Amino acid sequence: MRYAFLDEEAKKEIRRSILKAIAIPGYIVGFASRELPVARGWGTGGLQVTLAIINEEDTLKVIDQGCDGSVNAVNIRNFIKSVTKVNTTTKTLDASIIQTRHRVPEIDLQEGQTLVYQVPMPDILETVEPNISKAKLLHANADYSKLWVLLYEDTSMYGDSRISNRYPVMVNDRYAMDPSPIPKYDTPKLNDCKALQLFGAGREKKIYAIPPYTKVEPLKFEDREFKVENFDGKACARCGSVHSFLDEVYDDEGKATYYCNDTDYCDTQKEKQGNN
Amino acid sequence: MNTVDIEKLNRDNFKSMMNALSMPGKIEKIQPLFESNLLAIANTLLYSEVSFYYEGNEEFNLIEAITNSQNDQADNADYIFCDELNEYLFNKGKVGTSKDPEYSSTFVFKCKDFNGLEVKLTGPGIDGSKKVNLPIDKSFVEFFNEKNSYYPLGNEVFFLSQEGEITAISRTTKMEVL
Repeated sequence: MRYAFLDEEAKKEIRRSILKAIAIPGYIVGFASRELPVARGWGTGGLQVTLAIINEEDTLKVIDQGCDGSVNAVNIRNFIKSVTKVNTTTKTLDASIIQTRHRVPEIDLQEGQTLVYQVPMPDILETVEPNISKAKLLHANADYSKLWVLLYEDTSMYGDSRISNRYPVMVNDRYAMDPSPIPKYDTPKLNDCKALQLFGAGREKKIYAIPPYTKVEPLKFEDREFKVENFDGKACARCGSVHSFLDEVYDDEGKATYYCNDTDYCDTQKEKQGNN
Repeated sequence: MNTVDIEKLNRDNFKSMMNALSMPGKIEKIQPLFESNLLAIANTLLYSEVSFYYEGNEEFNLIEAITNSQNDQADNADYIFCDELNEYLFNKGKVGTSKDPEYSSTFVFKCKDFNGLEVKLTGPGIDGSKKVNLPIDKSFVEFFNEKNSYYPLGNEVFFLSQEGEITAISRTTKMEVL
Protein backbone atom coordinates (compact mmCIF):
# COMPACT_ATOMS: atom_id res chain seq x y z
CA MET A 1 0.00 0.00 0.00
CA ARG A 2 1.28 3.44 -0.94
CA TYR A 3 1.87 5.85 1.99
CA ALA A 4 -1.32 7.83 2.71
CA PHE A 5 -3.29 5.88 0.06
CA LEU A 6 -3.30 8.56 -2.67
CA ASP A 7 -0.79 8.36 -5.50
CA GLU A 8 1.95 10.99 -5.57
CA GLU A 9 0.49 12.85 -8.56
CA ALA A 10 -2.85 13.21 -6.74
CA LYS A 11 -1.13 14.45 -3.59
CA LYS A 12 0.86 17.03 -5.55
CA GLU A 13 -2.31 18.35 -7.15
CA ILE A 14 -4.09 18.61 -3.79
CA ARG A 15 -1.00 20.21 -2.23
CA ARG A 16 -0.93 22.84 -4.99
CA SER A 17 -4.58 23.69 -4.25
CA ILE A 18 -3.80 23.87 -0.53
CA LEU A 19 -0.90 26.29 -1.08
CA LYS A 20 -3.04 28.51 -3.33
CA ALA A 21 -5.89 28.37 -0.80
CA ILE A 22 -3.51 29.49 1.97
CA ALA A 23 -2.23 32.31 -0.23
CA ILE A 24 -5.77 33.59 -0.90
CA PRO A 25 -7.63 33.18 2.42
CA GLY A 26 -11.30 32.27 1.97
CA TYR A 27 -11.07 31.78 -1.81
CA ILE A 28 -12.39 28.47 -3.15
CA VAL A 29 -9.83 26.50 -5.17
CA GLY A 30 -10.91 23.57 -7.32
CA PHE A 31 -9.21 20.19 -7.20
CA ALA A 32 -9.71 16.78 -8.80
CA SER A 33 -11.36 14.90 -5.97
CA ARG A 34 -10.25 11.27 -6.00
CA GLU A 35 -12.15 8.06 -5.36
CA LEU A 36 -11.61 6.78 -1.84
CA PRO A 37 -12.84 3.73 0.04
CA VAL A 38 -15.40 6.08 1.62
CA ALA A 39 -18.51 7.37 -0.14
CA ARG A 40 -18.53 10.99 -1.28
CA GLY A 41 -20.33 13.12 1.27
CA TRP A 42 -18.85 11.20 4.20
CA GLY A 43 -15.79 13.37 4.70
CA THR A 44 -13.76 12.61 1.58
CA GLY A 45 -12.72 16.25 1.16
CA GLY A 46 -11.26 16.49 4.64
CA LEU A 47 -9.80 13.04 4.22
CA GLN A 48 -7.97 13.95 1.01
CA VAL A 49 -6.61 17.15 2.55
CA THR A 50 -5.39 15.20 5.58
CA LEU A 51 -3.80 12.48 3.42
CA ALA A 52 -2.02 15.12 1.33
CA ILE A 53 -0.46 16.95 4.30
CA ILE A 54 0.21 14.14 6.77
CA ASN A 55 3.69 12.74 7.44
CA GLU A 56 5.34 10.36 9.89
CA GLU A 57 5.83 12.99 12.60
CA ASP A 58 2.14 13.87 12.83
CA THR A 59 -0.28 12.93 15.57
CA LEU A 60 -3.84 12.67 14.35
CA LYS A 61 -7.16 13.37 16.03
CA VAL A 62 -10.50 12.92 14.26
CA ILE A 63 -13.78 14.23 15.64
CA ASP A 64 -17.34 14.11 14.43
CA GLN A 65 -19.59 16.67 16.12
CA GLY A 66 -16.99 17.05 18.87
CA CYS A 67 -16.79 13.33 19.57
CA ASP A 68 -13.78 11.07 18.95
CA GLY A 69 -15.94 7.98 19.35
CA SER A 70 -18.65 8.36 16.72
CA VAL A 71 -18.76 5.99 13.74
CA ASN A 72 -17.58 8.49 11.12
CA ALA A 73 -14.64 9.66 13.24
CA VAL A 74 -13.57 6.15 14.28
CA ASN A 75 -13.61 4.83 10.73
CA ILE A 76 -11.76 7.79 9.25
CA ARG A 77 -9.16 7.64 12.04
CA ASN A 78 -8.70 3.88 11.57
CA PHE A 79 -8.38 4.29 7.81
CA ILE A 80 -5.77 7.05 8.01
CA LYS A 81 -3.83 5.11 10.66
CA SER A 82 -3.88 1.97 8.50
CA VAL A 83 -2.33 3.80 5.51
CA THR A 84 0.13 6.04 7.38
CA LYS A 85 0.93 4.34 10.72
CA VAL A 86 0.80 7.76 12.41
CA ASN A 87 0.10 8.09 16.11
CA THR A 88 -3.46 8.98 16.97
CA THR A 89 -4.85 10.76 19.98
CA THR A 90 -8.09 12.03 21.43
CA LYS A 91 -6.32 14.94 23.18
CA THR A 92 -6.75 18.23 21.33
CA LEU A 93 -3.46 19.63 22.61
CA ASP A 94 -1.45 16.52 21.61
CA ALA A 95 -2.66 16.49 18.00
CA SER A 96 -0.80 18.13 15.13
CA ILE A 97 -3.64 17.45 12.67
CA ILE A 98 -7.27 17.49 13.77
CA GLN A 99 -9.83 16.43 11.20
CA THR A 100 -13.27 17.61 12.17
CA ARG A 101 -16.85 17.40 11.12
CA HIS A 102 -19.03 20.32 12.21
CA ARG A 103 -17.17 21.51 15.32
CA VAL A 104 -14.14 23.55 16.33
CA PRO A 105 -12.51 21.99 19.42
CA GLU A 106 -13.42 23.66 22.69
CA ILE A 107 -9.78 23.87 23.84
CA ASP A 108 -7.88 26.70 22.12
CA LEU A 109 -5.74 25.55 19.21
CA GLN A 110 -2.03 26.36 19.05
CA GLU A 111 0.53 27.39 16.43
CA GLY A 112 1.73 24.39 14.46
CA GLN A 113 -1.62 22.64 14.61
CA THR A 114 -3.78 22.16 11.52
CA LEU A 115 -7.55 21.89 11.69
CA VAL A 116 -9.04 20.10 8.68
CA TYR A 117 -12.77 20.57 8.15
CA GLN A 118 -15.03 18.17 6.27
CA VAL A 119 -17.23 20.45 4.17
CA PRO A 120 -20.52 19.49 2.50
CA MET A 121 -21.32 22.84 0.75
CA PRO A 122 -18.21 24.92 0.04
CA ASP A 123 -19.80 28.02 -1.50
CA ILE A 124 -21.72 30.31 0.84
CA LEU A 125 -23.36 31.95 -2.18
CA GLU A 126 -25.06 28.70 -3.12
CA THR A 127 -28.19 29.59 -1.13
CA VAL A 128 -28.61 32.94 -2.91
CA GLU A 129 -27.03 32.15 -6.31
CA PRO A 130 -27.35 28.52 -7.41
CA ASN A 131 -25.58 29.14 -10.72
CA ILE A 132 -21.95 28.29 -9.96
CA SER A 133 -20.41 30.41 -12.72
CA LYS A 134 -22.47 33.44 -11.68
CA ALA A 135 -21.47 32.84 -8.05
CA LYS A 136 -17.81 32.76 -9.12
CA LEU A 137 -18.27 36.14 -10.80
CA LEU A 138 -19.87 37.52 -7.64
CA HIS A 139 -16.85 36.34 -5.63
CA ALA A 140 -14.53 37.91 -8.23
CA ASN A 141 -16.30 41.25 -7.84
CA ALA A 142 -16.67 40.87 -4.06
CA ASP A 143 -20.36 41.39 -4.72
CA TYR A 144 -22.11 39.95 -1.68
CA SER A 145 -25.25 42.10 -1.97
CA LYS A 146 -27.47 39.00 -2.30
CA LEU A 147 -26.17 37.70 1.04
CA TRP A 148 -26.80 41.08 2.62
CA VAL A 149 -30.35 41.12 1.18
CA LEU A 150 -30.96 37.68 2.71
CA LEU A 151 -29.70 38.97 6.05
CA TYR A 152 -31.81 42.13 5.69
CA GLU A 153 -34.98 40.16 4.93
CA ASP A 154 -34.46 37.98 8.00
CA THR A 155 -33.57 40.93 10.20
CA SER A 156 -36.55 43.02 9.09
CA MET A 157 -39.03 40.15 9.47
CA TYR A 158 -37.66 38.31 12.51
CA GLY A 159 -35.35 40.81 14.18
CA ASP A 160 -32.26 38.69 13.48
CA SER A 161 -30.80 36.24 11.00
CA ARG A 162 -32.45 32.82 10.94
CA ILE A 163 -29.22 31.05 9.98
CA SER A 164 -28.50 28.57 12.78
CA ASN A 165 -25.25 27.04 11.54
CA ARG A 166 -22.69 27.49 8.70
CA TYR A 167 -23.10 31.21 9.33
CA PRO A 168 -21.46 33.28 6.54
CA VAL A 169 -18.13 34.85 7.46
CA MET A 170 -15.94 37.45 5.76
CA VAL A 171 -12.30 36.39 5.56
CA ASN A 172 -9.52 39.00 5.52
CA ASP A 173 -12.10 41.65 4.49
CA ARG A 174 -12.35 40.11 1.01
CA TYR A 175 -14.06 36.73 0.56
CA ALA A 176 -17.39 35.62 2.00
CA MET A 177 -16.83 32.05 3.11
CA ASP A 178 -18.81 29.03 4.25
CA PRO A 179 -17.29 27.92 7.57
CA SER A 180 -18.87 24.43 7.13
CA PRO A 181 -21.87 23.55 9.31
CA ILE A 182 -20.32 24.54 12.63
CA PRO A 183 -22.69 26.06 15.20
CA LYS A 184 -22.70 29.85 15.57
CA TYR A 185 -21.05 29.21 18.95
CA ASP A 186 -17.86 28.22 17.07
CA THR A 187 -17.85 31.05 14.52
CA PRO A 188 -15.87 33.54 16.67
CA LYS A 189 -13.15 30.88 17.15
CA LEU A 190 -12.24 31.14 13.47
CA ASN A 191 -11.04 34.71 13.96
CA ASP A 192 -7.35 35.19 14.69
CA CYS A 193 -7.00 31.44 15.29
CA LYS A 194 -3.41 30.33 15.99
CA ALA A 195 -3.83 27.14 13.95
CA LEU A 196 -3.97 26.72 10.19
CA GLN A 197 -7.51 25.89 9.07
CA LEU A 198 -8.04 23.88 5.89
CA PHE A 199 -11.45 23.08 4.40
CA GLY A 200 -12.02 20.18 2.01
CA ALA A 201 -15.21 19.38 0.08
CA GLY A 202 -14.74 16.05 -1.71
CA ARG A 203 -18.11 15.76 -3.44
CA GLU A 204 -17.93 19.39 -4.61
CA LYS A 205 -14.18 19.16 -5.41
CA LYS A 206 -13.18 22.32 -3.56
CA ILE A 207 -10.51 23.36 -1.07
CA TYR A 208 -10.18 26.61 0.85
CA ALA A 209 -8.21 27.82 3.83
CA ILE A 210 -7.71 30.32 6.61
CA PRO A 211 -4.07 30.87 7.61
CA PRO A 212 -3.27 31.45 11.30
CA TYR A 213 -3.89 34.96 12.67
CA THR A 214 -6.40 35.91 9.98
CA LYS A 215 -9.34 38.24 10.44
CA VAL A 216 -12.61 36.32 10.17
CA GLU A 217 -15.86 38.12 10.93
CA PRO A 218 -19.46 36.95 10.77
CA LEU A 219 -21.50 38.84 8.17
CA LYS A 220 -23.59 41.16 10.30
CA PHE A 221 -25.19 44.60 10.17
CA GLU A 222 -23.32 47.14 12.28
CA ASP A 223 -26.28 47.71 14.59
CA ARG A 224 -26.90 44.00 15.18
CA GLU A 225 -24.92 41.95 17.66
CA PHE A 226 -23.76 38.49 16.55
CA LYS A 227 -25.57 36.13 18.91
CA VAL A 228 -24.46 32.58 19.57
CA GLU A 229 -26.32 29.66 21.13
CA ASN A 230 -27.28 30.37 24.72
CA PHE A 231 -26.67 27.84 27.49
CA ASP A 232 -27.37 30.14 30.42
CA GLY A 233 -28.40 28.24 33.53
CA LYS A 234 -27.32 24.90 32.07
CA ALA A 235 -24.27 22.82 32.89
CA CYS A 236 -22.74 19.56 31.70
CA ALA A 237 -24.18 16.71 33.79
CA ARG A 238 -20.83 14.90 33.62
CA CYS A 239 -18.13 17.53 34.24
CA GLY A 240 -20.24 20.47 35.38
CA SER A 241 -18.87 22.84 32.75
CA VAL A 242 -20.85 25.99 32.07
CA HIS A 243 -18.43 27.24 29.41
CA SER A 244 -18.87 24.73 26.60
CA PHE A 245 -21.22 23.90 23.76
CA LEU A 246 -23.78 21.52 25.25
CA ASP A 247 -25.78 18.66 23.74
CA GLU A 248 -29.38 18.23 24.88
CA VAL A 249 -30.12 14.56 25.62
CA TYR A 250 -33.61 13.34 26.50
CA ASP A 251 -34.28 10.26 28.68
CA ASP A 252 -37.33 7.96 28.44
CA GLU A 253 -39.38 10.28 30.65
CA GLY A 254 -38.66 13.21 28.33
CA LYS A 255 -36.36 14.92 30.82
CA ALA A 256 -33.53 16.90 29.21
CA THR A 257 -29.95 16.49 30.41
CA TYR A 258 -26.98 18.44 29.05
CA TYR A 259 -23.51 17.13 28.20
CA CYS A 260 -20.41 18.72 26.67
CA ASN A 261 -20.45 18.20 22.92
CA ASP A 262 -16.63 18.11 22.87
CA THR A 263 -15.74 14.83 24.57
CA ASP A 264 -12.04 15.68 24.99
CA TYR A 265 -12.93 18.95 26.71
CA CYS A 266 -15.32 17.07 29.02
CA ASP A 267 -12.66 14.43 29.83
CA THR A 268 -10.07 17.16 30.48
CA GLN A 269 -12.43 18.92 32.87
CA LYS A 270 -13.06 15.62 34.68
CA GLU A 271 -9.31 14.96 34.96
CA LYS A 272 -8.75 18.45 36.42
CA GLN A 273 -11.48 17.81 39.00
CA GLY A 274 -9.90 14.45 39.86
CA ASN A 275 -6.54 16.13 40.46
CA ASN A 276 -7.98 18.73 42.82
CA MET B 1 23.60 1.26 -2.11
CA ASN B 2 22.00 4.38 -0.67
CA THR B 3 18.35 4.71 -1.61
CA VAL B 4 16.17 7.75 -1.25
CA ASP B 5 12.43 7.75 -0.59
CA ILE B 6 11.41 10.63 -2.83
CA GLU B 7 7.80 10.57 -1.72
CA LYS B 8 8.84 10.92 1.93
CA LEU B 9 11.07 13.82 0.99
CA ASN B 10 8.17 15.42 -0.86
CA ARG B 11 5.76 15.16 2.06
CA ASP B 12 8.32 16.47 4.55
CA ASN B 13 9.33 19.34 2.28
CA PHE B 14 5.72 20.17 1.44
CA LYS B 15 4.98 20.41 5.17
CA SER B 16 7.83 22.90 5.52
CA MET B 17 6.55 24.94 2.57
CA MET B 18 2.96 24.89 3.87
CA ASN B 19 4.11 26.08 7.29
CA ALA B 20 6.32 28.76 5.73
CA LEU B 21 3.56 30.13 3.51
CA SER B 22 0.86 30.01 6.18
CA MET B 23 3.06 32.07 8.52
CA PRO B 24 5.05 34.50 6.32
CA GLY B 25 8.54 35.18 7.64
CA LYS B 26 8.73 31.88 9.52
CA ILE B 27 11.83 29.83 8.72
CA GLU B 28 11.47 26.10 8.00
CA LYS B 29 13.94 23.38 7.08
CA ILE B 30 14.19 21.67 3.67
CA GLN B 31 15.82 18.29 3.00
CA PRO B 32 17.86 18.10 -0.21
CA LEU B 33 17.27 15.80 -3.17
CA PHE B 34 20.25 14.89 -5.36
CA GLU B 35 22.26 17.10 -2.98
CA SER B 36 20.20 20.12 -4.06
CA ASN B 37 17.65 22.04 -2.03
CA LEU B 38 16.20 23.68 -5.13
CA LEU B 39 15.66 20.35 -6.89
CA ALA B 40 13.99 19.04 -3.73
CA ILE B 41 11.55 21.95 -3.79
CA ALA B 42 10.96 21.59 -7.53
CA ASN B 43 10.26 17.89 -7.13
CA THR B 44 7.77 18.66 -4.36
CA LEU B 45 5.84 21.19 -6.42
CA LEU B 46 6.00 19.96 -10.00
CA TYR B 47 3.78 17.35 -11.64
CA SER B 48 2.39 16.69 -15.09
CA GLU B 49 -0.33 19.36 -15.07
CA VAL B 50 1.83 22.33 -14.09
CA SER B 51 4.49 24.30 -15.92
CA PHE B 52 7.75 25.84 -14.78
CA TYR B 53 10.47 28.20 -15.86
CA TYR B 54 14.00 27.93 -14.51
CA GLU B 55 16.92 30.32 -14.79
CA GLY B 56 20.12 28.93 -13.30
CA ASN B 57 22.74 26.23 -13.40
CA GLU B 58 21.18 23.24 -11.65
CA GLU B 59 20.32 19.92 -13.30
CA PHE B 60 16.67 20.71 -13.87
CA ASN B 61 16.37 18.18 -16.70
CA LEU B 62 16.37 15.49 -14.07
CA ILE B 63 13.35 16.96 -12.27
CA GLU B 64 11.58 17.61 -15.56
CA ALA B 65 12.01 13.95 -16.46
CA ILE B 66 10.90 12.64 -13.05
CA THR B 67 7.87 14.91 -12.68
CA ASN B 68 6.81 15.10 -16.34
CA SER B 69 6.08 18.82 -15.86
CA GLN B 70 6.08 21.32 -18.73
CA ASN B 71 8.92 23.74 -19.35
CA ASP B 72 7.30 27.06 -20.29
CA GLN B 73 7.95 30.77 -20.82
CA ALA B 74 8.41 32.92 -17.73
CA ASP B 75 5.22 34.88 -18.41
CA ASN B 76 3.10 31.73 -18.48
CA ALA B 77 4.75 29.34 -16.02
CA ASP B 78 3.00 28.20 -12.84
CA TYR B 79 6.30 27.98 -10.97
CA ILE B 80 9.35 30.15 -11.57
CA PHE B 81 12.68 29.09 -10.09
CA CYS B 82 15.80 31.22 -10.19
CA ASP B 83 19.29 30.90 -8.73
CA GLU B 84 19.17 34.52 -7.56
CA LEU B 85 16.67 37.26 -6.78
CA ASN B 86 15.55 38.50 -10.18
CA GLU B 87 13.17 41.48 -10.35
CA TYR B 88 12.83 41.23 -14.10
CA LEU B 89 11.53 37.67 -13.77
CA PHE B 90 9.34 38.66 -10.85
CA ASN B 91 7.66 41.30 -12.96
CA LYS B 92 7.02 38.83 -15.77
CA GLY B 93 5.19 36.24 -13.66
CA LYS B 94 1.43 35.94 -14.20
CA VAL B 95 -0.85 37.19 -11.40
CA GLY B 96 -4.05 35.30 -12.19
CA THR B 97 -7.44 36.80 -13.02
CA SER B 98 -10.20 38.17 -10.81
CA LYS B 99 -12.23 34.99 -11.35
CA ASP B 100 -9.24 32.65 -11.04
CA PRO B 101 -6.57 34.33 -8.92
CA GLU B 102 -4.93 30.94 -8.31
CA TYR B 103 -3.74 30.83 -11.95
CA SER B 104 -0.70 32.81 -10.93
CA SER B 105 3.02 32.15 -10.65
CA THR B 106 4.76 31.02 -7.50
CA PHE B 107 8.40 32.09 -7.23
CA VAL B 108 11.30 30.27 -5.63
CA PHE B 109 14.47 32.36 -5.38
CA LYS B 110 17.72 30.87 -4.14
CA CYS B 111 19.83 32.98 -1.81
CA LYS B 112 22.99 32.61 0.27
CA ASP B 113 21.14 33.27 3.52
CA PHE B 114 18.29 35.46 4.74
CA ASN B 115 20.49 38.37 5.78
CA GLY B 116 19.50 41.50 3.92
CA LEU B 117 16.91 44.18 4.17
CA GLU B 118 15.05 44.47 7.47
CA VAL B 119 11.34 44.65 6.82
CA LYS B 120 8.16 44.68 8.85
CA LEU B 121 5.59 42.13 7.74
CA THR B 122 1.86 42.38 8.40
CA GLY B 123 -1.13 40.43 7.12
CA PRO B 124 -2.70 36.98 7.45
CA GLY B 125 -0.41 34.43 9.09
CA ILE B 126 1.34 37.07 11.18
CA ASP B 127 0.46 37.79 14.79
CA GLY B 128 0.20 41.58 14.57
CA SER B 129 3.48 42.41 12.87
CA LYS B 130 6.84 40.74 12.51
CA LYS B 131 10.31 42.16 11.87
CA VAL B 132 12.41 39.92 9.65
CA ASN B 133 15.47 40.07 7.42
CA LEU B 134 14.95 39.05 3.82
CA PRO B 135 17.49 38.75 0.99
CA ILE B 136 15.86 41.55 -1.00
CA ASP B 137 16.39 45.24 -1.74
CA LYS B 138 14.11 48.27 -1.59
CA SER B 139 13.13 48.12 -5.23
CA PHE B 140 11.95 44.50 -4.82
CA VAL B 141 9.75 45.63 -1.93
CA GLU B 142 8.21 48.26 -4.20
CA PHE B 143 7.68 45.75 -7.01
CA PHE B 144 6.20 43.21 -4.61
CA ASN B 145 3.79 45.66 -3.01
CA GLU B 146 2.81 47.04 -6.43
CA LYS B 147 2.19 43.60 -7.98
CA ASN B 148 0.12 42.47 -5.03
CA SER B 149 -1.82 45.71 -4.72
CA TYR B 150 -4.60 44.30 -6.91
CA TYR B 151 -5.35 41.52 -4.43
CA PRO B 152 -6.54 38.77 -4.88
CA LEU B 153 -4.27 38.95 -7.92
CA GLY B 154 -0.61 38.45 -7.05
CA ASN B 155 2.27 36.10 -6.37
CA GLU B 156 3.78 34.07 -3.56
CA VAL B 157 7.55 34.14 -3.13
CA PHE B 158 9.73 31.54 -1.41
CA PHE B 159 13.36 32.22 -0.49
CA LEU B 160 15.61 29.20 -0.23
CA SER B 161 18.98 29.50 1.53
CA GLN B 162 22.15 27.52 0.91
CA GLU B 163 21.71 25.89 4.32
CA GLY B 164 18.39 24.41 3.26
CA GLU B 165 16.15 26.86 5.05
CA ILE B 166 13.00 28.25 3.47
CA THR B 167 10.85 31.27 4.22
CA ALA B 168 7.97 32.82 2.30
CA ILE B 169 5.94 35.94 1.74
CA SER B 170 2.39 35.65 0.48
CA ARG B 171 0.37 37.95 -1.78
CA THR B 172 -1.52 39.06 1.33
CA THR B 173 1.71 40.07 3.08
CA LYS B 174 2.38 43.78 3.41
CA MET B 175 6.07 44.70 3.53
CA GLU B 176 7.44 47.87 5.00
CA VAL B 177 11.14 48.77 4.88
CA LEU B 178 12.54 49.61 8.33
